[in-house]
Amino acid sequence: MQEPTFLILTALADEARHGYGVMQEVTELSSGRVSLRPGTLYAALDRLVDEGLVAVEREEVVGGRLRRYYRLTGAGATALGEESARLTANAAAARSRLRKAGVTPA
Amino acid sequence: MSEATLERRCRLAARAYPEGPRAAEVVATLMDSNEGRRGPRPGDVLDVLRHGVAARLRSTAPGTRLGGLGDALSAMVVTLAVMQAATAVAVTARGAAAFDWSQGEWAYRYPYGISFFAGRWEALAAIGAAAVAVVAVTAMCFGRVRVARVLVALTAAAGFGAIALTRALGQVWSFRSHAGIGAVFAGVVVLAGVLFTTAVARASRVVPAWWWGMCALLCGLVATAALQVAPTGYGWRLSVVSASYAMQPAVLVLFALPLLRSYPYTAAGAALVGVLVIPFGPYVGGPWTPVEGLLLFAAGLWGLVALTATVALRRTRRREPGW
Repeated sequence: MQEPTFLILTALADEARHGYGVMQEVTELSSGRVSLRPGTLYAALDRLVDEGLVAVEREEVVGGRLRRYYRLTGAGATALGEESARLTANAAAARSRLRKAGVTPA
Repeated sequence: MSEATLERRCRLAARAYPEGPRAAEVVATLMDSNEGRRGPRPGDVLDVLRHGVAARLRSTAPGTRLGGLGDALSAMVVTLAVMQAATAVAVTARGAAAFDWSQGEWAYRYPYGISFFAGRWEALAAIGAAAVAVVAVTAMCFGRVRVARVLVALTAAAGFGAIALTRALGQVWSFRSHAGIGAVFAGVVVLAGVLFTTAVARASRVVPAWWWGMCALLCGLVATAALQVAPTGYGWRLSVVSASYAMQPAVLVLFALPLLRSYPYTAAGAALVGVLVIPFGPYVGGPWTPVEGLLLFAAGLWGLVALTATVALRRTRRREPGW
């Protein structure tokens, strides 16, 4: 799973968000390291919807602007959990090796 | 004022997307993420354009429809397309053989005066195209529409590549060896077939038929312009003949590729060929042979009939998608 995908799923983990909300959340989650543009975001969302990891929850029109809210599906939550576990295991392995080499991980 | 300008510019960028909720959603997100500015950031615009075009290409072409078994009109169109493609290959092969190097410069011997298959390569190419055409029609008759479509595209690609290359090689680069032309001709036929078939397989599902037609026409015009400015030294008459030749790829693609997509496009394309392109041949004394002219005329006539039938049927079958 690529980092932007992981971050999008994470952004939707706690509540349904609209496109711009997801963009803001991804920027915050990555401490400004990952910044999604609208086209890229919706392409990723389309793909995730096709894969069944994300679903459209509702639509609202606020101030003349269409907001479509996306939520994580059960399959999406499972995929995110598995990816998190994998990343955690990898990170733990890296830290362990670094400690053996006498380097203190940040 | 600033927000109105921002909205206008965001809407303009989002027009890359097909009309619908997604476009509206992109406008809203673009506006949200560019709040306080007079327009979206250039990076956002490029991103939206790129993904918008991709989304447009992925979407189903409006009003398109592929013929199936028992669909007489569709089968007829495929047959015509195959005939045209095969004929074009044969005629072009003959045209390639008509270039003659004599007395220090290239001369273009008029195709009427030479034997039908002047060279081994040309004969093989034409026979191969004919074989593919037969298989394609057979496949179509047995309902294997996809197979037929790919084979027709292959045949058309052969014609397309052959025409473009023989004209370019013969006129612009002045190849000295007739055998060289034949070899390059055969190679290009294969290469163009592979490339074109791949492109068709990828795009025919999603690109509206008229795009193909327009692209083909544009290619024809560009090729014509290129031949006009090339130092051919043959005067205006050959330039007009070249123009006629250069339009042939457009004819091929109009027939063989988009026309398999739907009845309306089929009819419109065939009618266009009949009305606009066919007259070029007789007037310029161009590369059309009597047989080819007859085929094109029949195709044009058929197109007009099909167009009329389509319009009439559309009125009574509005509920059926694709009409």
